[in-house]
Amino acid sequence: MTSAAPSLAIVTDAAANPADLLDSAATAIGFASSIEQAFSKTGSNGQAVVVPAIDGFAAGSPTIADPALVEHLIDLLYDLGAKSVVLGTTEGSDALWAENRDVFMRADLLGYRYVTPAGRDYDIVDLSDDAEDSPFAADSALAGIPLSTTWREAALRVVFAANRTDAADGYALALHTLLSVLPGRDKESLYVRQRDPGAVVHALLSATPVDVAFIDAVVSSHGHGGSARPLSIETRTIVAANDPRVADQAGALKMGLDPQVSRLWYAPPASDETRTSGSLLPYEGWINVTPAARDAVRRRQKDAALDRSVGPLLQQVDTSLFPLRNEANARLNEWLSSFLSMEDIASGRETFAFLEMVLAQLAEARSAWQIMFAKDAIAHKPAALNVSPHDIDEAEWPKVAPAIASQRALLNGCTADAEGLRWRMVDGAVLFDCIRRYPVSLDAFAAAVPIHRTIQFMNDYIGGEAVTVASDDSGRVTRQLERNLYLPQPNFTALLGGDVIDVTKIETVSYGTDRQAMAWQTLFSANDSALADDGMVEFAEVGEDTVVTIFARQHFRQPPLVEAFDLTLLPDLHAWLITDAYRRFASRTFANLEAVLEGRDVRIGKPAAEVDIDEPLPIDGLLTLAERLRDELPDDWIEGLRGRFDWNRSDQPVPDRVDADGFQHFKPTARQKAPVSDRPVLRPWLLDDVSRALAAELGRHG
Amino acid sequence: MKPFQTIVGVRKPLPDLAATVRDRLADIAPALTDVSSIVVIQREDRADGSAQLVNEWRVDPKLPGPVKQAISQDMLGWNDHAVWTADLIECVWRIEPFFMPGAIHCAGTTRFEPAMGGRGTKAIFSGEFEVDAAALTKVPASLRGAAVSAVETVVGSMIPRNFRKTIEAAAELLG
Repeated sequence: MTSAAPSLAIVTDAAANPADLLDSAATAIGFASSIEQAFSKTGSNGQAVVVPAIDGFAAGSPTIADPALVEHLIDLLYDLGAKSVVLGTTEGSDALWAENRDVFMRADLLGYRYVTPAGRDYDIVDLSDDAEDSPFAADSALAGIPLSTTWREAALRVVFAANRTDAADGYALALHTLLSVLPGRDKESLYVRQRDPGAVVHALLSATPVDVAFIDAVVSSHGHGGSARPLSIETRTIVAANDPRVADQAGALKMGLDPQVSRLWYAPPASDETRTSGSLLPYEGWINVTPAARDAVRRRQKDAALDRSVGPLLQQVDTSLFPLRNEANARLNEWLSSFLSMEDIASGRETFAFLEMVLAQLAEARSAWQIMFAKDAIAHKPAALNVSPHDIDEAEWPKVAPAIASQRALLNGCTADAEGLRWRMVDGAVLFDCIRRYPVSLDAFAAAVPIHRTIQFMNDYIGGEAVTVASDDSGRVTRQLERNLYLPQPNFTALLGGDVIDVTKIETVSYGTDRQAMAWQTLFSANDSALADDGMVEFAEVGEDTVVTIFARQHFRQPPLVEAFDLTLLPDLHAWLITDAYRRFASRTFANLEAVLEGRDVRIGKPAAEVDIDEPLPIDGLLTLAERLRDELPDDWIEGLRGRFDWNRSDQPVPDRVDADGFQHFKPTARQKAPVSDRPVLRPWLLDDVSRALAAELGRHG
Repeated sequence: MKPFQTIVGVRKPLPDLAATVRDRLADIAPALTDVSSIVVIQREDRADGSAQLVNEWRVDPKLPGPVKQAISQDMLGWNDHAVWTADLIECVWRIEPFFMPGAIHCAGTTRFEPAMGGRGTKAIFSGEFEVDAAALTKVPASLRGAAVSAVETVVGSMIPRNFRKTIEAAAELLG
């Protein structure tokens, strides 16, 4: 159900009770007629599903929609003809590190009574339980993700958000709350790290539009720490809209924010008919998360292991209701809380911001290290294709191969180096080609290395998706759209803030008896990391061998610090860097093709799911390791260690003197007086003396 | 004195859950880490419906060699003295360890409340734990305060965790 014209109501009244504010806002957006329309539809099951913000960590927290208000809404829905009303949500990633976070117990502890003030029963459902089929299109960001039947079949879908700042997105209102209908515990991994969160929201709303969104801004949560360190403020307001995007837009403006600061945001369709009542004047005394802090949190979130470790440490928790599962987390959380009190604005805020910046730096340092030296530790980056075949004009396909051929012609006159590489700069892009001969027939080579997948075998490929648009009679791909993600190029730019290269391409493939070729052309780069990444690969039969030629025209954006240095002013250095980078690319890509030919897996990194969802939290991993050590170390390991230090030696050394700083000084033994030339290189006597001094020190307290 | 409290919620009816915790501890034992057995050594069902039980818990934790040498196997365990109300809503308990008897005080209450609109039960476990510093004769006197504090902290966090496992195992037994 969606009414034609969007409606928005912002009701503020310091003297009114919250239930009256809700009633006024509902009336102002024509809630009653919307509901009547929804329930009277043919096939309507008469059920309203309300998704409340219910992810707080204390009863009465301003980060959740007030349960009393939600129960009042349930009464209102029954009064307006609902046959049944259920509250729906799912477990979040916090269930990995805190107790009592399952849907039912969390609701109970946060104040839901399962019966309204008017005595009507309502149920709370875990929307993961009946998430079986996926309603999402193949080109959607949520393709293949199942969605709750209860949510899909609801006659009326309502989101009831809390009014709160968010450390990563600036605000967390209706669209943020909406994400809690999606299955999977580790939502940060599934819907933030592995997908574009805005595309996720778009896909979800396209499949299951929300009819009404409320924001409980009676008592709000503001402050720099977002929902992790909530700070209460009375704002005595209810926002209601018949589109969650409209509600979020108003909510963000009331906070004094551009709605676009959130990664979840995408604008509602422009309408001249939006009926608005109430004021968009920002809340008085409101404190937002600073842009620097938002940026730091987003940078930190990119590192799954770090992000999952930090969550339980920074979150303010009523541990009598939601004890932390891991004792180390509990102690660290308690200790950090004393520094991060948001009540003490000056020190708490700055300590929090400083900590977030340190964590962001740590995340980026780890990421840069992995890109340069530990590629197998990098998580694959699932990146669904972000273009539909319907968006491509039929006339575009035949143009691809000729366009690439004419680009390649610009390399004419270049001499290949000893390794078969040649390159030159044209319009700021690098044009290069390279060649390698494999002692295998074309048939065997092409059977082992499907040419339409060649890009996925290239050096530093870390994720993406290809969708076949057309095939020949033999079922071989002839046209496809592909999105590729590569590690920052050159890799060292990761140290300077270089991002992954994310390019969406149109590709055509041709098959002859003695030649196969694929050409690709850039459509766009979602993160603006590339101006061009066009190219072609050719498998040609030469005698009994196969010759592989790769040509590309690449123009990648570099981080500002690299851009600041115009390396073309130093032509020799520039040429050396380019030659080195493309030699490396060519040798590794050809080695990859050889590996694929031999049936080996060449992909770097590991599946994201393996990294995030199925892996225990790092702290739990440490605990498991400690338990293994406990179980596997011999019982007498402490004695063994003691023996090493020889605690009870009768000739325990006696210090010659103890100086004012407490250092003990020993007389050298005869062995140590040996001539310098006789002393072993590693000087074990020095280690001996350190051991003996340590033994003396330990023995003193033994 | 180290107070502790924890809340555990499960989707099982109160009478079934509480009765399982009172009457089927022996069946729950295998689900608990390091617990080798729980045996009812005394039970008195009173006329008013309440019950008084003494359960003997035997544990077999992995201990470092030196600790193992200091504590013999028969000292690893405790008697749990429990008094249950007739309506199964409350159990008042006291632990009597075999190791350092008299030096360790651990007692508390377990309350069972209906939760989740009658669809489940909340078990609220609270108590206090105290170690008599004077009993730690093997620890240098100057370090006893710190040792007591450390022991209370560790045990104070272990007890609620084991309680949670007990309730969850009881719910599991109910299917």
